[in-house]
Amino acid sequence: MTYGSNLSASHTDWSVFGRLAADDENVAAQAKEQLARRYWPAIYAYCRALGHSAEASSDLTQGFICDVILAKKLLHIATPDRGRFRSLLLRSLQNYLRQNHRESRRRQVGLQPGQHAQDIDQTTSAPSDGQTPEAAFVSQWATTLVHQALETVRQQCYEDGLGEHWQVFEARVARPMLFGDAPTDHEILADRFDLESSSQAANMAITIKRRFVTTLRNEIAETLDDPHRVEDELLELLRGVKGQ
Amino acid sequence: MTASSGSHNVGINHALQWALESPSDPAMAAADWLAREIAPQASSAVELVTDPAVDLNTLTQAKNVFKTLRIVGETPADRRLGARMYACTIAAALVRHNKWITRQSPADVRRVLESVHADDALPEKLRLLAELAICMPALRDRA
Repeated sequence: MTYGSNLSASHTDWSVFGRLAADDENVAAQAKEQLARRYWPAIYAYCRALGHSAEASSDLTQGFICDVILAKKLLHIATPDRGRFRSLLLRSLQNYLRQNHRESRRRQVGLQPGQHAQDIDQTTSAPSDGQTPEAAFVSQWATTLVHQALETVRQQCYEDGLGEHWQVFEARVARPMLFGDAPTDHEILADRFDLESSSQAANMAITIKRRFVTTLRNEIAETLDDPHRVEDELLELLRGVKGQ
Repeated sequence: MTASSGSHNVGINHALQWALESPSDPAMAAADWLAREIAPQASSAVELVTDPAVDLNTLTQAKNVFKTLRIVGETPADRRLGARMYACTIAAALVRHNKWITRQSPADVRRVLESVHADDALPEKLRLLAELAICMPALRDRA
């Protein structure tokens, strides 16, 4: 079972973004795919929470990724001293949706380009599920980071010969965390992997849990202009996931 | 396979919480997680070991996981803390239940408990537990 897109070792949001402008077409194409995969869920969740249908949300998400992210429009403002990448992306998305809505309304009422349509400049309808669009965005952003960290750790475990450790962690921690499964008993895991004791299973789970947490913190740090503000960002993400 | 958004959010919440609580003392964070592996309601390893309401079976399980941490812990800090928590669970069983739950020699256990008692960087509750155990007949005069 995999948990997220496969980003390369150098997957800093800022650096991936920079690689969009690479002369090497392969590098640029890979960067595009990585960015699209990484941000799709949060952008889509925001559109859905605005009240758009699934189909419209998918179209808007695709449009934003193509017109703004992949068209490199963010490159002009996306420098590492611009603060959180998440905030920049959300502001850009809000602007995009506002502009998209204006143009859509202009087409509907027959306004010509250049005419003003402030009176119809509303992009929102009732949030779905009682969650604000911003909270939906942050919540999905956090989910993507968690999945990304899990996938990175999963791959590292197998590369490091810790496949059994990973499977114990998955049964004890990852699946209960993501899917609400009951954690598999230590004794069952000890039998399954022919371990010396159930205590060994518990320790294996914890070993990988620490790797996961370290990787998650690194993932978060890479979206920040100041990596020392990981705690602040974690607190904001926690508030977002709780819908506050 | 999907999760309801409620339980999924709770899970993501847990992951973020783990990331928030781990960096100040990674070894202690690992010990806390181990404690929750065997007693999900435990707030920390120290609470689990020092709580008078914890039963002997749970203490025995705690002793076993900390014993393993003492041997297979990833870092020297993990193994050192594992050794100390191992000794403290033995101490807890002795102090709270008057049971000796290990084949380790009392002298070896006493030596580790003395180091716990002398380390003012450790939580006061843990040091007090070590002190109480050292005063018990099973460990007194075993230096």
